[in-house]
Amino acid sequence: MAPSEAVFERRLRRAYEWSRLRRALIEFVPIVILVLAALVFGGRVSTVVVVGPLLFALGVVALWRGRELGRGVLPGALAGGAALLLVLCANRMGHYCTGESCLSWCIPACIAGGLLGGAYVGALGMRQRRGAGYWLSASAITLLVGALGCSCVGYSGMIGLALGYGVLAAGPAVATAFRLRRGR
Amino acid sequence: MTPASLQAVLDLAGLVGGSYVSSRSGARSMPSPELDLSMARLADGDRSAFPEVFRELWPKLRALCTSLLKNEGDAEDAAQRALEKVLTRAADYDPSRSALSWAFAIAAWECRTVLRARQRRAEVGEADLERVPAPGSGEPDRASVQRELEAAALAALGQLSEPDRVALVAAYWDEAPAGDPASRKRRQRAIERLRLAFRRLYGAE
Repeated sequence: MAPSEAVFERRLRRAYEWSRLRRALIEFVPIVILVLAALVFGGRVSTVVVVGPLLFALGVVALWRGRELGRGVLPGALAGGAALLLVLCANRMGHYCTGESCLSWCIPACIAGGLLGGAYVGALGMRQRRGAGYWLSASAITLLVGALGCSCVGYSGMIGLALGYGVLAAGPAVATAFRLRRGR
Repeated sequence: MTPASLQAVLDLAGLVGGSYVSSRSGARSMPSPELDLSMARLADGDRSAFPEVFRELWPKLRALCTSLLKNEGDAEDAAQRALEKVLTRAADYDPSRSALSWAFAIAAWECRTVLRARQRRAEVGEADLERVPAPGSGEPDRASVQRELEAAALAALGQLSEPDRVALVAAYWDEAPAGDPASRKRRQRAIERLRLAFRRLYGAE
């Protein structure tokens, strides 16, 4: 390849990468709605301020890289969004009190949200035979979105979310790993 | 407009013109399944497909622009802009369509832009242009008539939307699936709109 063609090809590569990055930024901007909802409706500001930018950066990078990583972004955002919605509603319900003690609805909601998210991501991943990149980005985004609301009772909520998610997503993820090892 | 007269429009537009066709041995059919696959991979984010797409498209786009613009400098610029647009819009590529037709449609649009700019600047100086001789170009007056017809055909093509241009180019290169009713309908609609564009511009059928 002539030197000028090599320069031209490099310029085209840069243009291609910039266009993918711009597209990723635009496509992931709607996640800001979830972050703002968490801020407004009861998420801890300190958590949202840390998790929000991390979530945004992760989603943009996954979309920019594309392929299996990019395919996990939307399912992760939807699964995490459902969990977040559940938790924010639960936060509005206050506490459940028996005669002797009161319990926040937050932790059960986080566990339920995690189960819901894990079921959705797992079912989709199995049906569409997704690779490792999908599981990685979908799981990370689900947990980060859910964490925006599950910080309601500190780390316990986030652990509940992760456990609930893991219970229903782990099986399909492991099955996928075995399938990839067998080369299918 | 019959398919035969559409063929004439595309011929006049230089899509089969000069050095481009002669290097293809007159073949009309240009299947490019490998290119379609590579473009789909690139659209998906597989960077390893980049060199394949570049190697396949660059010479073809350059040849097309050269045959349309008859000027190496302008053709090189137009082809570069076209290829840059193809690659920056790779994520918009529809894997069910031909990548080559899509790229050609974008390149034809760039060439039309150059021709319009020339018309605006009233560039008619033959001596300043570095010409690429087209076989059978004949006498200067026939050459200028040919150029005007090509410009007219391109102008009409330029009135069409990108999907219509892609459908016509795909039909020309026989890349539309045979017997596919959706492709036939798309082609017919594109031909009808091309006919209307001609009438609007030149009052001709």
